[in-house]
Amino acid sequence: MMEARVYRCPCCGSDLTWNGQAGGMKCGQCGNSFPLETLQGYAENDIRDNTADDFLWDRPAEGTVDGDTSHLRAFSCPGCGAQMVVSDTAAAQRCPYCGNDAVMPQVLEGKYRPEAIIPFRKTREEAVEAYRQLCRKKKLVSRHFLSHAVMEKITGIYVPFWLFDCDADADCTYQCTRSNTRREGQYMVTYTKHYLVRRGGDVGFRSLPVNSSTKLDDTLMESVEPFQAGEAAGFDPGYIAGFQAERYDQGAETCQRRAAERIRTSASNFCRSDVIGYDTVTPKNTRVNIRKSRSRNVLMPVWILNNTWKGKNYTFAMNGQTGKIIGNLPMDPLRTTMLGAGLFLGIGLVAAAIVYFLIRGGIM
Amino acid sequence: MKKVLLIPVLILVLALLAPAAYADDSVFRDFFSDLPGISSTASPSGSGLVTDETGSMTAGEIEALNRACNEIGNRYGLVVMIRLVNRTPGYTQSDSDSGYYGLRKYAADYYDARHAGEDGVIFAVRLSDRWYVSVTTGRGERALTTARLDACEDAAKTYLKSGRYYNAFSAYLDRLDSYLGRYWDQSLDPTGWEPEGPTAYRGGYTAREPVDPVTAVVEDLPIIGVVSAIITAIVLLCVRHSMRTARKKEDAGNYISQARITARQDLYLYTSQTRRKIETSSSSGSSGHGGGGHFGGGGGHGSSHGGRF
Repeated sequence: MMEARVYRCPCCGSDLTWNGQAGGMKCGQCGNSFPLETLQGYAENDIRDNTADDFLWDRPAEGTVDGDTSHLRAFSCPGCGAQMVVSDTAAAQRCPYCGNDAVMPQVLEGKYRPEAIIPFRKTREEAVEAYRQLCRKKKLVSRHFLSHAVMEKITGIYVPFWLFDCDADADCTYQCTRSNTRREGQYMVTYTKHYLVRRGGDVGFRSLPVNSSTKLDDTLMESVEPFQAGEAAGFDPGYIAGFQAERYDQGAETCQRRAAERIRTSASNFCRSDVIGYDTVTPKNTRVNIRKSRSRNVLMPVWILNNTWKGKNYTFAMNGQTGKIIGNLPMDPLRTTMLGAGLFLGIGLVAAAIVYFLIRGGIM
Repeated sequence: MKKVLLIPVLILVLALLAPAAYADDSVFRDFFSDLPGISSTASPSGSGLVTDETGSMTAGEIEALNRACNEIGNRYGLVVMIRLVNRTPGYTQSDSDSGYYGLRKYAADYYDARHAGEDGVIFAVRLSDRWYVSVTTGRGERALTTARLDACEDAAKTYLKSGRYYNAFSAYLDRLDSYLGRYWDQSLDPTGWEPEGPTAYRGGYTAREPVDPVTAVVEDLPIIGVVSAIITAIVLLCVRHSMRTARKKEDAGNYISQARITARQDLYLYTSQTRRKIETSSSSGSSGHGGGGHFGGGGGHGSSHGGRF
């Protein structure tokens, strides 16, 4: 049985959540804000005062879940005592019974403890408004996506990333040509000079992020980049209160492959940008060596909305730091049909009018 | 959204204008071929609407062409003339554009001297510099647009190049008859043109089935439908693409902290060469011309079109 922690307001006892604008934990009930250090001291004393009423029973989960449960964990809500089963990578969870935002710091302990965390700077209200604007720009999106019930599902998630620092040595060769043409008697003669061009370069990369959670789509996570790693703070479980959080389930060795692909492309592009003055440039060989590499486990803030519509899942995501928003939205069949019919008739009428006047004018 | 619509609109415009542009293309780029059939002892033969000053056609051929010109002329109330000459003394003869203008003036004067004030068309061919020209006036000008004359001349050009002049003029007249049959009715009372009284026409005219623009549009509806469907599909695909903004990152350009070139080497290997023969002016052909010219006493504005073979 895992121990879950809830951050409560010292004033009124309500739940506290991280507020990026206030730079600390904020109470949604009385509006007070508290620095993390204050709450840590408060929590220690609070726990000491309540040792007699310890409700975190260390009891084994009874076998009520069939099948492979190795990826599941049980925890007891400190607010209402409800017992819940969650993924073993979930570090924060909202209780569906009492609404308490519970943090399970043990999930992020040991080798899973993040080195740093980038706190949410964009609030939930900003994420909802950005999503609403995105949907309104897409005229063919079903009204279903703008319903209040759907927007209520927007969730802030701290996504685990590996950040890679490294220096890359690139060595690239190209086959290049330079041509000139001149007249010789009755012939135009083109002279083409062929070159072998080589460029070497040192390219340094800092804080290249790679999603380390298999629960979140890599393409989606790369789409909301970039993240400003310079704003990262030392990890403290208090930051994830009020949000969901995951721990990584892919090690740095696994994620290095994806980082290497992007590093290779960028290093190659940098060398290619220095090959100038030729009419044609064809890459021949590219070799990239990575050295001085270092990786860090960092939690990144992302607002996510998973919505199922007509049996398919559509995901919207917003960078919780910069506000960059992306989404895969479906086309409403009715609206699409209306647009298609309108276009078809409109284009047909214009084409018919052109044909009519061309024939009448004797041009055709 | 503007970018999304730009491509389909361009496709629509190109799809609709391409046939007209092709029809108006008056640039001929045929290579020079030997010019047979020039007789140094040309003598006038034939008379009336078809005249051959070069002796390249037999009397029977000229007579057959005369009959065809007469039939077409009577059917539409036009004068249809054909003139084949070696040289035109007093008029500019040249491989350059001035040769075309010289022949055009000659054809207009020749027509005017015999049928001043009458509506019609003359097709003149000069062998010395291989220019040909069609000159129209009055209702001939209205019914025979540049594109249609172009098509008539194209039909004749293949035969002109091989010296089969009778075949060339027959093909020209066939095409001319075809166009007059399709569009003659429009030329009588086209929108925006001042209508003329029936006395302006000579007897014998019987209108063929007129081409109604509405009927033509109805006949073209399948093509219009296909074009509309294609453009609509392209627009919808573009919109669908814009609905999906999640894209995989290919590079790591946002995370480059420093970059410098450490090695730079450009090694010359060898030189290759390709040769292309320059097309001479005599073999590359030259462009045809269209334009207006005033001739005759009828007060009509003539138009002309021509080229080289």
